[in-house]
Amino acid sequence: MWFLCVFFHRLLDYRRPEVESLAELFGAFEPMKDGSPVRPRSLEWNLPQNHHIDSPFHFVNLPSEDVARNIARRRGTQPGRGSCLGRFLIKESYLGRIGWRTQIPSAESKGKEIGREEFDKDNELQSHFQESVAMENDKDWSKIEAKVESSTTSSKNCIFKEGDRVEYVGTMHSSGLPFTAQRGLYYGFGGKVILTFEDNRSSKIGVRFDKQIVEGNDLGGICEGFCTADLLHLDCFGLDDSARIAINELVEVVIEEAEKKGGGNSQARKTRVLFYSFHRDDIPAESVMHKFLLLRNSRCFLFTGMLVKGIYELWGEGTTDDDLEKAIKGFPDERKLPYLKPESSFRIIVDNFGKVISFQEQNERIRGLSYIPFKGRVDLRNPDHKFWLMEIDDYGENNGLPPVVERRIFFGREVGAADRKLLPTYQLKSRKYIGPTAMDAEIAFLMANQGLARPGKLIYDPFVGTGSILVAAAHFGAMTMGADIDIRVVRDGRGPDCNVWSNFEQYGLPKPLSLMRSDNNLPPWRSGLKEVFDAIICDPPYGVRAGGRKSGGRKLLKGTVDPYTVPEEKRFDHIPSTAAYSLAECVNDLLELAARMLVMGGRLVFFFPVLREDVVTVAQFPEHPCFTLIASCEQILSLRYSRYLLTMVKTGHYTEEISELARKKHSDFRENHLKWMEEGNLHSAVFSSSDSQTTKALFDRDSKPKYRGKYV
Amino acid sequence: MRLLTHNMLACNIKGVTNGYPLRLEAEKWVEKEVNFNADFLRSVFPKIEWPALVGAVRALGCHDLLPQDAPNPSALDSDDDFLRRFHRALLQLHVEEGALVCPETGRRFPISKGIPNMLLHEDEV
Repeated sequence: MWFLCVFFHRLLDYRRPEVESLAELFGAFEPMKDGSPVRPRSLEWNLPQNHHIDSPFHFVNLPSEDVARNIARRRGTQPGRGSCLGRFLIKESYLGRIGWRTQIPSAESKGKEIGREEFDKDNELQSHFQESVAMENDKDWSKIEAKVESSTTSSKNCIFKEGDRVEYVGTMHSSGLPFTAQRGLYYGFGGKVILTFEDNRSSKIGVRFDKQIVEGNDLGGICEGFCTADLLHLDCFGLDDSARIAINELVEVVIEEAEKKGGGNSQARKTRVLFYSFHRDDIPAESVMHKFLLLRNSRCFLFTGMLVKGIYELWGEGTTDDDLEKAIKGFPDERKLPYLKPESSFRIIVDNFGKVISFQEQNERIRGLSYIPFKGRVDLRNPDHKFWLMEIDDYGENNGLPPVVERRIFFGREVGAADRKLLPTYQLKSRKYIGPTAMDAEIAFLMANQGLARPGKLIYDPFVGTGSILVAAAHFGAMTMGADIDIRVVRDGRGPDCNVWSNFEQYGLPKPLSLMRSDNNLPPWRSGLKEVFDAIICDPPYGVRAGGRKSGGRKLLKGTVDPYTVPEEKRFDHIPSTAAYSLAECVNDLLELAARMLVMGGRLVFFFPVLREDVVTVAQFPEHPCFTLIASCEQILSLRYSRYLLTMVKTGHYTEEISELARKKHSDFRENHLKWMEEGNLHSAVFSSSDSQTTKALFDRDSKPKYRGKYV
Repeated sequence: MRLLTHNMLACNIKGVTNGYPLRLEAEKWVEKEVNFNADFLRSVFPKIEWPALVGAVRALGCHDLLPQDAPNPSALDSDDDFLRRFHRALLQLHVEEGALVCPETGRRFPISKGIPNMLLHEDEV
């Protein structure tokens, strides 16, 4: 299905690759079969007629509206986990009872109580529950008081019949770990009722559970008389959804807040709060509930894209208002009518790219759309459906925006839209520990998206520095590891409260699994170790502002290859001197490391600097037989040079021959150390006195338009 | 430094052939909680050298934490208790101060503030 994708006008090259990475994360592509060759997949893109590629309007072909919504809203989980959104943590002490309770913010945040939902099922089953929900607000979370609302669902009024699917919700060990310590049944186990005895809640029911009972009364999988009815409750998974629940977003109180306040004691840790959000028409509450319980010990992470402003189902486009009207009228009714129903609420937003139009003009435009049969009521704050009337017009040249040939208007229904709330939290200016080369938060998230960071994956950064890239990867739930040759940056930082670890603490993120001091040129891995990391995301030293170092010592600097020996008595506290590390050798080592240590299909994401006066084609980028380049995004840094974010996928195995070649190349670098230092030296090229001749040549040959700068 | 890291490191001094596993001498170690993620443990399990892990766990004094022989990979799916122990051994035991010693040369790689220093001296490259 084709959608209109509108981007923010930033980091232009990075926009499409980001959507493609998010598409991969959200399952837009068919899952790879084991054994099939790893081939990178990409989406189909198109541009509106006569539009320049830097335009904010693009058309993209996505498999479904769900995927589009996930990419645009940038919330989601790994495909296959079910559509649960937001962070989930569960109130431990309450789980011991039947059902569960939620702790929700009080009336300070605007509360909206959703009425009791009762539903009758064909098989005479009744269960009802009530929920109190609050709308999301932006207040400081620590000020929100919790109000306990009971929300229980029990089998009190349940009449179980044979064949009903049930789930065990009985008592749980207070250690809070549902999967262990409980002999016999595990919380959350599902099964089928095979024998009913009576219909009061403490009667016993024969249930056959799906999974074998471990370490307990293993009655061959059958529990006759084992379970009392009040320990079970109905699993509504497979039933037709008849409960439609309003959109609610519960506010999240971060457990780390509680921990910080409680000083990390176990009491505070037990106070976990359940927050969840689920959407109308999507998921019935009960099935969401089960998913919470199963996800108890893990967090659902928000995958966030940075550059997509919104994705829309296009109802019409044209050059003039009449064209647009014709197009919209021509759009099939069955696609339009579901969103124009009288019960629903809607809102029309007028957006003009590059120009500001007055309030009156906006209203006029909206009135001009009266030929669309909107039947619902208008709700500006929280409508069910949002419609956008977007326009791009000739705004004159050279005001920093891409050239426009003619006016174009788009009208579409919003499938998902941007929420850049993530960025302010992570901005470098508020971060505890930064260094001169700390990666900008926005770009760090982009890199993490390119590397497909998600829970369960291991991400490595061989030039970790202050850890800014790993912070982004950890936000998406990945496990992280880092190394650096400068031990002061990694181990000491600027003090006990100002180091790499405190950066992670600041955001409440899980700290890296390991940080170490090692040289990427001579890594300390055991031989035979390979295919360990799921992604390597890094920013190697370019040698311009901050140079790289490798082991080898001072003699190497003078071109002498034989190193000196450290006298025995001085060995203990000896701090090895390091030699300069040319960009060429650095990138070569990085590719070798990645080729060996990445899993098949794993991603290598790194920045590669180039001089702008060289005509840059793909041939200039580093290559390796194990890798396929799938994206290169330019970011102009100065008049003289820019850097490309390269995304490579490992598509070939690291064989013995490749390993042999690597060893030879390594020796070559060592033998010709001085030569590589001179040739691969970006620093002098960038900082050499400007020659008016070359600068002029640069301007003439500058094919990139003027509006492209560092952040565009 | 966690035991996962210890499992991956070796002494790569020029000429050394038997630099793995490094002997773990821990002067100070703590236990830090890490989010339990079963998928991660399952994907990392095949890459672990089991004898080295057991040796490291013993060096810290937790003799009964892990079985001597590597269990069948299917244990990861069915045996939840084992998964918890594996998680604890691999990710929660954290060496703050100590050293890693090369079995062949005796070279010590110090661990300070939880960070191992694997950098080689000039005459070792």
